[in-house]
Amino acid sequence: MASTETTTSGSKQMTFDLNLVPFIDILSTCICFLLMTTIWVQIGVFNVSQAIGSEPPAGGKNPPSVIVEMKNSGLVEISLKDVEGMNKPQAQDISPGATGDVNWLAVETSIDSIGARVPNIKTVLVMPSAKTKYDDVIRMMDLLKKRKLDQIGIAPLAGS
Amino acid sequence: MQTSLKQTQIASPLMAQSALQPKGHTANRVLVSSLMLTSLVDAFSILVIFLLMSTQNGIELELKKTEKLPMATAVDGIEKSIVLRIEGDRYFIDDEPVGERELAKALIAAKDKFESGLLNKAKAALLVQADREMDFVALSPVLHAGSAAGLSQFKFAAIEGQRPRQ
Repeated sequence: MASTETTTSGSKQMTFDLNLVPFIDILSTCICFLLMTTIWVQIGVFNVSQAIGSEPPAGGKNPPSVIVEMKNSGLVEISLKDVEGMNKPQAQDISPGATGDVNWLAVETSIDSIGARVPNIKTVLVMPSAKTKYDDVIRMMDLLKKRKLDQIGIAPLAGS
Repeated sequence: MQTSLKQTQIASPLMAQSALQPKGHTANRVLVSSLMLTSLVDAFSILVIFLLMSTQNGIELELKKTEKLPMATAVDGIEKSIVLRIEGDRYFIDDEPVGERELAKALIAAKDKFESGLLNKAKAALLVQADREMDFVALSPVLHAGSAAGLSQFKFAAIEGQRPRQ
C-alpha cells in the first residue's frame, strides 16, 4: 500500500505514495449503493393542529374565522364568522366544476378575496362530508395554508 | 542556415517523449503518467457525504404498491410520531391492526408509550397514512379518537409536489 523510496545514496526517504485506487473503489461502491437505495419520491407531512375539547374562556372574543364546508358532489360553501363589523355570517356557495369535482379555481378566487377583505384572518375550519375524497380534503387545506390561513382544523363527522 | 535554426528551436516536451526519435532532454523520459487521484477522492467523498445526509429521515413509511398518497405543497419533513395507517376500513397503529371501536384506547396506549420513552420527551403527534381515494368517512373516526386520546398534532402523509392546474 505505502512504499518508501530509496535514493541512489541508499538513504530512505520518509515520503511515500498512498495507493488511492482501492479507496476510490470503495467510494464508488458506496455511491452506487446510496444512489440505488435512495427514495426519490419526496414524502412529507401536512401538519394540522386540532383543538382538543376545552371550552373557550367566558366572555372571550372569538377570532375571525372561515368555515369551508365541502358538501357532496363537489359543492363548497365558504362562510365568514366573527368578523368585526359583520353582524351575521356571510356565506358563498361554489358550484362544482364541469367534471363534477370541486371548482378549485373558484375556491382559490374566493379565498383570495376573503384574505383581501379581512387580512388578519388565520383560523379555518374545514368540514368535509362523508363522501368527500381524502385527496380533496388535503388539497383544500394545502390551498388554505398557502394563503396564510394556517390555523386549520378539521371537523369530524357527527356521530362517527 | 538549417543548423542555426535547429539551435534556436524551442525544446518541445512532446518531441522529447517520442519513442522513435526523441529530441531534447531524454534522460528523465517517463512514459507512464500518473493521474492526480486526490481531487477525485475528494469529489467522491463529498458525494458520499451528500447522499448519506440526504437519505437520512426520521422515520420510514412503508407504502404499498397500490397506495397513492395525496399531493401537497406546504409539507414538512417527517418526524417520529405515532403512525396510523388506513387501508379501506381497517386501521393499523404502528403496523398493529386495531378495530374502529378500540382506536381511542389504542391511541392512548401508543401516546403513553411514545411520551414515556427515556430519550423522547417530545409531545406525541399522530401521523395518518392513507390512500388519496379514501372517503372522509374513514378518516373521521381517527379524528374523534385522536382528540379523545389528547392528541392535538395531526400529520397527514403527503407527496411533495405541485398539482397540474385545472
